Amino acid sequence: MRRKRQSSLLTTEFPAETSFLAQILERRAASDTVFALSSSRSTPSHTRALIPLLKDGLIDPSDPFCLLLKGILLRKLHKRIEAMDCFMRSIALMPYNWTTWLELNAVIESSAGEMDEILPLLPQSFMTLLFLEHHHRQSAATKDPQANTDRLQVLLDLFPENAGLWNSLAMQRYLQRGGFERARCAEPQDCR
Amino acid sequence: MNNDGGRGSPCVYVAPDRLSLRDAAPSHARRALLAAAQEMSSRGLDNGANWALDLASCLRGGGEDDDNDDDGVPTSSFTAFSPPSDRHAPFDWQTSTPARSHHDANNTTTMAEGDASVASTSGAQHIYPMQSTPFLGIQAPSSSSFRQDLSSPQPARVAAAANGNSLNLNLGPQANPKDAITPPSNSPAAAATPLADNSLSGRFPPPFRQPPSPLSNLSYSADEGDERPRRRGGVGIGNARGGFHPGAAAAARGDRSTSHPLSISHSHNDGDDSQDDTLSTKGNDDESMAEDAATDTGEDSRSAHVRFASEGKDSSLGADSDYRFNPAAASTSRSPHHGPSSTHEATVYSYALSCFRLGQMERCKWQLDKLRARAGGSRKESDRVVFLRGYVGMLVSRNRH
Repeated sequence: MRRKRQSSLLTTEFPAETSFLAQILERRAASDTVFALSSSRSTPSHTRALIPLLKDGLIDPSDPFCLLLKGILLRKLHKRIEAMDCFMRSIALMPYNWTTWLELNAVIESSAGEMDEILPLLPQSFMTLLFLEHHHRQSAATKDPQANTDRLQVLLDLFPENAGLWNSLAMQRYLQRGGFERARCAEPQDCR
Repeated sequence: MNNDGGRGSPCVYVAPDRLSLRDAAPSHARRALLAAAQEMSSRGLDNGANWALDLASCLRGGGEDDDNDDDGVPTSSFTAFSPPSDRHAPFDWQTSTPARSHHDANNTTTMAEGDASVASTSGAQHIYPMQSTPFLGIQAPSSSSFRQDLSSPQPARVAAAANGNSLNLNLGPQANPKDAITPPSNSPAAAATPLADNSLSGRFPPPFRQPPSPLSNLSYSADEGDERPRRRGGVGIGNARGGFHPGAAAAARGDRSTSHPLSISHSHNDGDDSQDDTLSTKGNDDESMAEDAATDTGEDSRSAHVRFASEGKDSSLGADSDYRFNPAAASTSRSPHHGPSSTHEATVYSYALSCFRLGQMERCKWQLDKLRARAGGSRKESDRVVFLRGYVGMLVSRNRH
């Protein structure tokens, strides 16, 4: 607003031949003002709204659901490592909340090998297996589809009527079909 | 992949991740998933609860291959989490958190109290408490009009009629849920009530002061209206409408130790909802209430609270009408010798109900149909399954056309 006021003053102070420059400046100032207003309306206010939520009972929570909420808030505040810590603590307390696993999956950078680092910290539950299967199927399904198939076999032994697991297995086998293509390219005679 | 044990062995070693699963026993997994689903459902995480129920309904052998395999389940390696091994124990491992006090976690009726307080703060605070009399130790509301109502109900009714708002006449228990925890009629506090306070009530003549609580008489007329034969079992109707409260379910299960009077007050509220209709249609119900009091002298030794507690115990309708998702009740209220198919039915029903709450009508109907196909007519289904299947089928057919 102050810049807009300054540009308005600019148009009044300068003569008519410089009005074109003044108009440009004013238009630019107006666009900057709009940008400033829009940015102040989105990110800062959003941050301001999240911080009190964190301070309100979520400073050091021990409830798994509060930990989940804190992790979600931290993730929205771009505190990825802190959010991961909250999610893992929540999972240690309540491993059967799939929402927490999905949130954890969202903050893990598989390219950095974080999954291998956090794997010993995860509970020894079938939920961990479900999470690993979900993570590898989503992130790097083509790297080692056989391992994911093994995971799915174990899970299907426990949950034989789960349609989602059967879908995942079908997807893995479909991805493994690429092995035939590679074998055909390598030795077409053997693939007849 | 390497399965170290046979069927029922809980420890499964998964080769790709060098992971040993400690909760791979179906019964163990089922209990843990159901308990987690209950926790999530109680927190509004319906999608997570639905996911857990979906998983629990897909367990091998229905998740109940062997009731005794709990002994073979090694204790969980993670220290903070330990699924309940005693199915009769409350879920302290989940609810005893610093965020919630231990008393609140164990007392299911406290949840009803919370619901009642929510109901009282949601808009019933400004409603004239019909049951609040000096007998029950209810303080007069701060509003001057309420004081006038308390001192004399008849002008209050006239005033409400003049305002055109019949709701101001009733819903007393909603306005103040603590009515139910006030001393009962035979308590010393009630017995020591002076006669001057009786005149403050102004509702009943002296022969009908037994029980001194007019709440009971009002509740009779509130619950059943003119249907006298239903009075004795009328609480079942109240529970049928108020069956969403776990406290009412506990009362309906007959667990007198957990039957908190506050859970009964919910049934009372529902009865007062019907009283809304009664009072809105009737012009003057003083005579009918007097007749109610006169005809109820045979059982007037019971106050409203005792009446609801005892009849809630005897009522089976209240148990059947508990449609609130409560997998813990399904797993804890059954004896160990209960048939596995019924436990599976409870699991599938919980999952279907979760689908219903999420608006997945087709899936809910499919689950219930699958349950019926699995039963194959060899065993009678519970009424709640039959009702939900019919209701969902009606909704699905209505959406299709």
